[in-house]
Amino acid sequence: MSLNEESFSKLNATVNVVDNKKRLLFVQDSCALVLGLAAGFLQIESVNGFLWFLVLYNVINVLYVVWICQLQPGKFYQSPIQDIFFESFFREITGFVMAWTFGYALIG
Amino acid sequence: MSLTSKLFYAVSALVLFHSGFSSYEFHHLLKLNPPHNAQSASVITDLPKDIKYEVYVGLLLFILGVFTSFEKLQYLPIENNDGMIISQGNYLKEIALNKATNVNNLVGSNPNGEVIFSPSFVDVHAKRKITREWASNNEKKEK
Repeated sequence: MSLNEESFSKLNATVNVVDNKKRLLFVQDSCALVLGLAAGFLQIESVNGFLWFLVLYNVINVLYVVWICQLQPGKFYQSPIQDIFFESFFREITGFVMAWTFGYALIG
Repeated sequence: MSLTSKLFYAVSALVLFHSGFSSYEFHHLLKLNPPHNAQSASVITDLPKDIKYEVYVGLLLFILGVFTSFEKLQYLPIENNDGMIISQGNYLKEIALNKATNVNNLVGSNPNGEVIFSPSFVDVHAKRKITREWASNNEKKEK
């Protein structure tokens, strides 16, 4: 493979990168909100709530890699671990806490 | 979004709403009759199992709804369209540029169309020939 071909094969289609990220964000946003609601309905308190989120958030991400990425996340994301597991973590945890406190206050 | 996904969403919304309401009722009753004597140690203060399971099922159905809302991407070719739909069997779009352009090639979409199809590059004689043929065929039909 010549140098030109090699550098061309490393190029990414920006539109597709953005599109895939949007789809992942939809899954993570909606799931984080419903996880929060469920935690509120179950009246989970303190650190248990965060553990509940951490475990299920990662389960959902793994499911995404297995089901939607068909175990080839590298084909659809530039840096799969960073993009899928870490990039929107704080965004999702804040969403989760919001829905959790909402559900908790609604029930309690 | 597929019908399965919509069904999952609808059922999960109902299940979650019902479990939420059950949980609310349970805690409301607990507030009305607070267990404050020794005998009440046997009184249930934890959320009943059936409500917990209902929340879990609602959550599971919602997650299934989210995941089934993804469908394998399909493309309809622009030219030579015999109603054949092309699919690469992916839920997402490939990011590598040399793979991403495969879709354009399969569909027959020309990424350089803006230039290639501009008037200066169009073969006017060929187009006129096609138009003449079409017009003469139509005249024959009318007669």
